Amino acid sequence: MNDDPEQLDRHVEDLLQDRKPERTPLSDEDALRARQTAAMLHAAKPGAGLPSKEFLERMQGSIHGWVGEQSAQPQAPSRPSRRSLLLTAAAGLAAGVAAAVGFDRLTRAPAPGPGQALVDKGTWKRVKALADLPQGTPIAFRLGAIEGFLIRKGDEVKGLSAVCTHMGCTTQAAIPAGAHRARTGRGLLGLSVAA
Amino acid sequence: MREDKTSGAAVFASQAKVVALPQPDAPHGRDHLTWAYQTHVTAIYQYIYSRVGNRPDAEDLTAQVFMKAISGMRNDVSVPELRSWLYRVAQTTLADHWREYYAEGAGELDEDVTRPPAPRENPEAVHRVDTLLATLPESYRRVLELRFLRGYSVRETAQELSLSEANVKVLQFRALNRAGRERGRMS
Repeated sequence: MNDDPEQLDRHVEDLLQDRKPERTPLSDEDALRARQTAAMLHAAKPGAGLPSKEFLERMQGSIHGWVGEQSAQPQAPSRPSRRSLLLTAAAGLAAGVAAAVGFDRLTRAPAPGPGQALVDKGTWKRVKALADLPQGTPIAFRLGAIEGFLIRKGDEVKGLSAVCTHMGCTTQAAIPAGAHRARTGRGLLGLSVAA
Repeated sequence: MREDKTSGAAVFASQAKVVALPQPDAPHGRDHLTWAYQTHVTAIYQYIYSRVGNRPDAEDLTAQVFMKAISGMRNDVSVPELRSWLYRVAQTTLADHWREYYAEGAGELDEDVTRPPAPRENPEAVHRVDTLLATLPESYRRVLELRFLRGYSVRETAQELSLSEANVKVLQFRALNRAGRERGRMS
């Protein structure tokens, strides 16, 4: 699709209103550069680009949780190896989607502990084979309405949604397999993963 | 911090305090590590915001950066290592972001991804913008200043410049494309 002034202006308006711009397939490098430049210009406006207090508070909590689970990682893979991936969309999804995504030889249901409950109803879906996930490099996936990333570390896999809800809802996610718990901010859905 | 919106300078100055760091070789308990990450949130957010230019994307990407960074980093990391790791993850996350939005090879288009991060993002971003605007013809510079730095609507810009709204959009289009190419040359 060729770029044009109307299309670019819609993008600019989104930036000026601090909205997430629509995803638009672009035809060329100039179109991309124009949008990157627009982002840079908008960010230079005095007072722009400061995180909200709410976001900072959410991040404080998330970081606390992530560091906690990282510290809790076992040093050696002494547990039985896991061969399946499960992904569960967090409750509170703006679109009301509640799905669980799994892969391969699932032998048991996840059993989230207190404070980790996520989605009561969901279905398991195949996403990726564990063997297809490189260590430490996020891999994007898409499954119907759910789009996100998988990050593998050892035999543990974390899931992070790429979906922005636009609705300002705060979501919580747990990773039952590793008793992981993550809190993510508005517009970012946590995904549960079991490998 | 939100009360500071009217005063860019004050806001920027206050951010330096937010990201102030402890001694690099302080002990690394879990609380210390948590705190060390937490002190970088504002700086990483600003770094990302200055590249994506909107709050929802900046919040999403900042959260992604921290989640990825924490899960990919050992626990006994020093603060300087942690900081440079965060910026590195931020750069790759941004490259992925542009690639997702605009499929064709966005990674190599964004020169920002390869340049070393500045410790104080926004003053540096403002300087970059000033430098960029200075390369543009007057009419281009004017429309970008009105729209972006002063937040004028298309209609207000049209009145200010005595143009039609359609002409303002065309002028804005040409100005952003020209500025984008200039940015490519400057990098």
